[in-house]
Amino acid sequence: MIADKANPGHGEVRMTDSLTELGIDSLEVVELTFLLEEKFDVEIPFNANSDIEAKTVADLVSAVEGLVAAKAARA
Amino acid sequence: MNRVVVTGLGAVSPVGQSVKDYWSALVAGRSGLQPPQIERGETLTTKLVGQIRDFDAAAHFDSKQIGLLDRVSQFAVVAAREALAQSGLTLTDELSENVAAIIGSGSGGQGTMDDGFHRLYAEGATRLHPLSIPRMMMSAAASQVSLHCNLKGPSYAVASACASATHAIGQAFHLVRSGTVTAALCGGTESSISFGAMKGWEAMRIMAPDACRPFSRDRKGMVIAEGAAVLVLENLDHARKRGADILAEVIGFGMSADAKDLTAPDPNGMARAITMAMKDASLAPGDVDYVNAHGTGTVANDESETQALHKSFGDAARKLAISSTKSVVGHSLGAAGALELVAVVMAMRDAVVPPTINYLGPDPACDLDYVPNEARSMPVNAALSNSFAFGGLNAVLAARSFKG
Repeated sequence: MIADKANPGHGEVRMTDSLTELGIDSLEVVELTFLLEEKFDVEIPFNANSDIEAKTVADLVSAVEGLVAAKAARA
Repeated sequence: MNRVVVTGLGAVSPVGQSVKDYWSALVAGRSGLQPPQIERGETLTTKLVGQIRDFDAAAHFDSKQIGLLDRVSQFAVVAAREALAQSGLTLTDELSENVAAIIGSGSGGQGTMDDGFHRLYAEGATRLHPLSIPRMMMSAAASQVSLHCNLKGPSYAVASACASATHAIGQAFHLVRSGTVTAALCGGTESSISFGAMKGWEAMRIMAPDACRPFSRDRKGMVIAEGAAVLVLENLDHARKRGADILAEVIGFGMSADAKDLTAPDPNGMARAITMAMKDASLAPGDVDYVNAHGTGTVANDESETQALHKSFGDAARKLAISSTKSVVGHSLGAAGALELVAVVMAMRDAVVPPTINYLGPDPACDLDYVPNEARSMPVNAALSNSFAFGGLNAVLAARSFKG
């Protein structure tokens, strides 16, 4: 999903890549958030006017992992 | 070319359903933003909107008329009637054919659409109300203003999202200036605080949870609102001949497109529209006293708009009084530019600039004078009204106080 939003020709997406380096702008971060919420059935709270906390691919992955784990714990 | 003056104003807003009430709330900095009350809206997370909760359609229209009018058209007609009444224009057969009705809207009859589609998709209805289409069409408000006010000149809608009203007024300005028409009722209207539309706004994650605080540090986004405003623009000679009370003069219009990004603003595109409006108006940067900013309260808009003002005004930017009246009434999208031009005209009349409320302190990226929190008494001879829309569509009007 992240690779789809990265600049064409970027090649393989690594965990350490920053979203900015991948050419993912703020609107695409909002879109990615929506796609991840839909895919994993979680809610990722964030306001695009506050600093976007997920700077790298790893930040995004760990945020989603945390939310999925929290959901599993509630279930 | 003809000179174009303003001879009537009308407003329907979250802080008042007349120009008098709207303007006194702006000057007092009395916010009209409240938690939403939206049908079927239980799952919405939006904390604040600028709804017109006490709008009573039955006070303005009989039951037969109400069935034909989406709320977005009701607002427009109420504002148009107020403006036309103030202008004192007597619409003879001949004059009525020479008066235009140009009304902008960002999304037309959202309420009709939302309710109708809910019936179809959720309730399993097999048919829609026969007036669904003429109620929801984007040009319905323009048609209704023409019908209710008996205006038989050019009439159409203008859509450019949050710049719709400013583009509509600019079009009307051109029509009167060129002599195509004698006068025009122009402005914008919006009523899109529906469950479906608000879900769309929530998904963009740009709405403020706390307050609308344009240009302030710690601003967290915009607040969606509804409303309408209509102005009567009139050929100066015609207005003089009939002894009209001339409220202000519209002297320039600039517009541009960023051709860059669907949502991110571009200071260069904004600056080109501002510069074009000033050039059209023969205004030098030092001539402008007040700018009613687009000032949505998002991080991106306010920073870009500040840069655009620096670019177009140079050193004179620091002398400008700039305020965002969206801090009080929220962002009424396709109506915003008209409500804001009404504020500009009133600022000239009363020699007072309305404040940007909820201002907590400066953001280093927004380093101009935003008239924080308190209205300022000052003469306003020349002013701009900025509107910058999603899709990179920019429109700026220039006005000056009328001195004959």
